[in-house]
Amino acid sequence: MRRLLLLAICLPLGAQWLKYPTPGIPRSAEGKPNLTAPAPKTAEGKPDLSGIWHIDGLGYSTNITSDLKPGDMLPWAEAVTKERVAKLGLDNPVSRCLPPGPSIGLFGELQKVIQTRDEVAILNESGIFRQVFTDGRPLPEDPSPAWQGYSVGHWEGDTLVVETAGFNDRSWLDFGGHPHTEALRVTERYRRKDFGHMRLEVTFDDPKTFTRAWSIGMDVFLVPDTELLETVCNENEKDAVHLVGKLSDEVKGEIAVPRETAAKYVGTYEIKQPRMNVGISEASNGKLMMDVNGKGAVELIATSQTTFLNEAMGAHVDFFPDAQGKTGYLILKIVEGDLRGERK
Amino acid sequence: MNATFGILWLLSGVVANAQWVNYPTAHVPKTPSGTPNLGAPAPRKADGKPDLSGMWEAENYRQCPKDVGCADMRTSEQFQDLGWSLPGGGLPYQPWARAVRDKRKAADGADDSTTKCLPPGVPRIHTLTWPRKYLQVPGLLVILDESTTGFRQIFLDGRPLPEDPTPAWNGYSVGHWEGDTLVVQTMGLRDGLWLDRNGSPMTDAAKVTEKFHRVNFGNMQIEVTVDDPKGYTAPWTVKLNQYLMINTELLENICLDNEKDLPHLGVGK
Repeated sequence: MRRLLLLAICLPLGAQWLKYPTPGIPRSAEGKPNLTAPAPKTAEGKPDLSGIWHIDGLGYSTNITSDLKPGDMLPWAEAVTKERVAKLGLDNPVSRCLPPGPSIGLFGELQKVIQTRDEVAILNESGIFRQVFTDGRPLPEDPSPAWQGYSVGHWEGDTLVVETAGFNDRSWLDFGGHPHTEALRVTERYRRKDFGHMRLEVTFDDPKTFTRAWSIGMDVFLVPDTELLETVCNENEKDAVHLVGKLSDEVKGEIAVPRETAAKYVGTYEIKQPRMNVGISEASNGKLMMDVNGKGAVELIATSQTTFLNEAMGAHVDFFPDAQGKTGYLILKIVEGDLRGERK
Repeated sequence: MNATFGILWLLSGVVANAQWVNYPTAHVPKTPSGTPNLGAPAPRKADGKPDLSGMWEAENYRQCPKDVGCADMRTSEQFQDLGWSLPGGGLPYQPWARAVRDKRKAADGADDSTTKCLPPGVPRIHTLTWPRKYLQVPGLLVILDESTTGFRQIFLDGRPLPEDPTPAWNGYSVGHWEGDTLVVQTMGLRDGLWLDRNGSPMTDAAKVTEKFHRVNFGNMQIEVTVDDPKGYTAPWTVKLNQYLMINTELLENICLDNEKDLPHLGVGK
């Protein structure tokens, strides 16, 4: 499913201002950004969140509810999620260049924060902006449902608290297809700890979908000396016609892998960029399981003796053990490219 | 011609319900009687430079034809024909460019990129009916564009234009101040942008200069010069008036959402 989104995003390859030094960043004598310098403040004395940021939330991209317990999601939502997985995420609105909705930016897209006296604007590299009003206005009472909802923010000490309501019910919370209703309210808490680091906690409260509100926490990193690229998702869009197939087709094509072969792949692999810890384990039925950043293991489907499908990510993984099976690496094939993970 | 306005109106799909469209804009100067004073001096930033921040709309006075039924949807003359105010028959087209314009005009803009939910590009962004919000912060001017819920960045931090950039709808823009006028230079534009609904073409050779001057609190002039020797016989300059919109807000406008127009386009001339 991640594959579908990324196909739609087609970033241009040429470098433009990707290495131009970002002004205003404290630097060493050699010009190296000092990302542990104190967080900057605005003229009004509030923390200044401006900058280009990257959220390390890839672990939640396939299952934003991974911290929930069984039964925390209402049965209708369980059923909808199951159906979307079975269709390999075919109907994910982002595959049609529609906005991601409440989870925009949470799964690793670059975001540029513009902070003024009256608002915080977020420029998303996927091409759309979002506005958070900090001028004291209340949330609208009965707004037209919108992909991004309506956001107001206020400061609690050094934390920017953003409340959002008025979402439409069409966006998916993650690539795993978790749904929500128009009753969803999202609260984000942004705290810039130092120049280069921010902590974000997001609370989802949708009593029509979940039995309780829950929160996820993420580290957010300043990305210096680069710039957003222009992305126009629906330019030259050629993906939609290729979105065919069902999970059941892939499962039908599954082949058997001997346990001694599968056992060679078990271990922990580290991908450096984007930072991912991939855990491969063996289930009691002998099938391999894959976990990314400790967010819950999913069963892999073998398509050859060395290639497996992680259907939730829409990604294939190839294993390259050495002769002894003790060291080696894997290649995770997503659309950004092939990510090599070294066995730890 | 009439169908042109019909197409635009269908695509706009603006949300009808009001949300924050009546919320008072902060920091607007008032007359003694308490009404907004849009003739007050242009605001300035802490560094003394004019502040272009605010929500702006084009000169949308052109009446929509009655028989299309979109009387509340107006566009500017420049939206239809960017060179309408120039003496001597409009923009100085190269022969091929004039032929392209004529063909597109006859087809009522059916192949217009904005009809297909693609961005207007530069400088067309200033002539669309949808409003734009300018956010001016140190080193940067951001334009939030309701037509695509997209954005354009103009760098004011002294960086040079890139040397051989990937062509882009918005190109690459840097600006500097000359007195109270912000002079913005743009290059690296994608080939084949439309300058107006008539379909006046612009090529990837184009260099665009925009001079932004906020005349007073409520008015801004943008003088646009396009130097595109492949498309035009000489550089040309047009002036675009922009008007401040207060006590309202941008709406979320997702053009692709529930898009049902395309199959109906191009069926008439």
